[in-house]
Amino acid sequence: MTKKFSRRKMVQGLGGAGLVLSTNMLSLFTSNFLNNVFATTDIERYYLSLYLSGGPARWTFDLPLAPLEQDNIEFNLTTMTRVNPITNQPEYHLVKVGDYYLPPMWGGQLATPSGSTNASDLLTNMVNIRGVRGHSSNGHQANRDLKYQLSSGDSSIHGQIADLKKPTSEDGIAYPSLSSGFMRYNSKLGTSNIWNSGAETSFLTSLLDSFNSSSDLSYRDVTEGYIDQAIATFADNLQTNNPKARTSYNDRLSAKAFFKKEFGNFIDSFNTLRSKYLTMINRQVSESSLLLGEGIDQGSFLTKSDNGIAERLYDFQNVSSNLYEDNSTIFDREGILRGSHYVPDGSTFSFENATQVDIAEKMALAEYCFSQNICRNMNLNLGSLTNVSIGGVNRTFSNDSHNYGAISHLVFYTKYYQCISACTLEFVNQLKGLNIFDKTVVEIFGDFNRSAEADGSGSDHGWTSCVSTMISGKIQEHIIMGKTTRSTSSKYRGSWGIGTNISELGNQPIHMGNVFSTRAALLEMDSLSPNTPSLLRKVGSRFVSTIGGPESD
Amino acid sequence: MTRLLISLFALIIFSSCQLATPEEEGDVQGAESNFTTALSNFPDIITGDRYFVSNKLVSMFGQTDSGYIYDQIRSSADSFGGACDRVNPTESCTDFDQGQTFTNSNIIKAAKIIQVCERVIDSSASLSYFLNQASLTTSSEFTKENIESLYKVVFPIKTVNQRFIDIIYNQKQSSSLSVTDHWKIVSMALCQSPEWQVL
Repeated sequence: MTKKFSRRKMVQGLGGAGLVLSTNMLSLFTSNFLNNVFATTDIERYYLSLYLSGGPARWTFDLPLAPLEQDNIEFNLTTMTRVNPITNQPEYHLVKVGDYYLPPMWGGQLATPSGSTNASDLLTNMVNIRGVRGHSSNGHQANRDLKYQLSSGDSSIHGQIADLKKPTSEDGIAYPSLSSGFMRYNSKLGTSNIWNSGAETSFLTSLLDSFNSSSDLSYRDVTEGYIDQAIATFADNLQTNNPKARTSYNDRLSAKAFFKKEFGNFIDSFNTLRSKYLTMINRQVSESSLLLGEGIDQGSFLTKSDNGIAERLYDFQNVSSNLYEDNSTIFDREGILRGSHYVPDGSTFSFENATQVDIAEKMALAEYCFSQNICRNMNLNLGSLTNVSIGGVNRTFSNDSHNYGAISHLVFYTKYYQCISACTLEFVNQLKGLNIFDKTVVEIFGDFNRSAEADGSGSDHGWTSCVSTMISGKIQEHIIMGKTTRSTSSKYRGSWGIGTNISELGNQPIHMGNVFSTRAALLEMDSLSPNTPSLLRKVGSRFVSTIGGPESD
Repeated sequence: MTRLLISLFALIIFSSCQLATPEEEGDVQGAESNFTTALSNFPDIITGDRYFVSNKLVSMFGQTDSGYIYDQIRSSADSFGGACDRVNPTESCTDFDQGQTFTNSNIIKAAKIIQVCERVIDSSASLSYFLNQASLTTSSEFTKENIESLYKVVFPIKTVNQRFIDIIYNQKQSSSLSVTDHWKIVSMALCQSPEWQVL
């Protein structure tokens, strides 16, 4: 849906101002033009990016390696999706859900606030873009930056959305982009970006406390209009005729609108939402009716023992954590230093007390802000699962899972993605209740996927196999796309999702620009990368893939 | 000559119009790219950091509410920008690396300035300090000349914005507020104006 741009109105507006030639005139006119463009682009849009910083592998979640033909891959041990209940050996196993073969979690149940539902409910409005090429430097930061901003001169995703908001006091409250985590943000207009790297409750407090006023100014209601009119006169002079400078005027009006919303009870409201999501997460990882069953949640392999499964598959070394401090009395410190395995014999993986406060708080923040119309444009960095008990010691897993063996990876990340999915589905249901799901894109993104080591001992940064999952009311069926191929290198041999050339893209792999264009198509805004087309196009009322179905080899 | 200049200007105008698809030609697909291109012709703006903003407000309203001003603004590096002052023992520089020298305009910044302005204008001492810099009191006659004098306290070197003066003065005609309230209105408008915050 697009709005009209009227040259006639623009010229009329200029005529009304009087045609006086001056050095300011072109600037003034151009500003009017820009304001008209603003007015034409006030499409209501909501965007939430759920970012998986660290780049966890996606094989157990939204990267089915062979969604159309299960056998059409070369098995790489690190990508295992279950332990075969009969042979007790790792295998790549998918379940048929709808038109596709998917990782087993999609055949299971997700926690809801009042019970559970089929995980496949979340698929209905989902597109998975597989095999996306990231930043070839292969580093976290470079890939992270690329997800938000294609090049340093461009707007970032969130900056572009913020800039396209109509700058009126009524809509102004939707201006800010809230960013939890220090992710790249660039706005052409210098529009709001409020970021925070701390706890979400303090984030909300610091945000909303700014809009409480204890002053008793009896003349305020009577005089507000005069004050606004007087301040607005500054916007006509040279400096503030710059639309970038004008944002500070709009932000003042936005702030005033916030004052009138009276956020007195916001902490109670937020905590109710936080509790809702946290309860769902705790139930998801521990409630027996929500377990996936044999081969993932149950089976002898969950206890490390002499069971025929290679020890390295149980590795879970955290390359960036203070590995030695909390486990030195339990684990073999010398063994760690030698680089051997870190799950003691006889240890059992237990998720009974596992939790994810980070996800709960951020989903609560998103629901609160969207439902209260505080903001429509958020970037939230999700943490990893905590309190996973291994050998009686509670561990926090890292999303930068270099030295996680295949078993550790399977049991940990399956739970992790179930938690994210359960929370996302609940969030989607709330959006539906607010009648804004059709205007929303929720995107699950990360630094990259992982390059899987063939012997099942871990993974490295997989910039050649990034995945973007977008969920929107505009998508009416589950779509998987992207062509992936196998690695032939000795260390990473096998299939783990490397993006390869696609004929419809001029024999190029999917570039991050295609993801930008696809997102832009769903959000009804121009792509920041017009030379890399959208992977979705609208046919009637439906979005369909422009590159056909998924391919694998 | 004038006609030539007008023609030239009209040409510039309609060249600019080509940036967008006109109404009769359909929708505005593509206009947003042109829009961002056009925006790049404008210089980026810099708004004052927490030191500039807090010092400016204290200079306007004096020391009576300076503690509140510093609490609200100088301690809000996330919103206002301004690197951590490691020499200052009251500063916590644990987030030093994440500090931004300058920040975009944002609503938190705007809200905190509104909060401060409401506080200082509600304070008779702070308001008097402000007015006194223009040799005024809350009972001074509400004239355009006096409004302009107060204007110059905030904008000592800028050309006077006459429309601002007119609007502020004209509200006197259409309201039955006291002269003190009129001075509060002009003080509030000057205090909240983003104009002095844009460097």
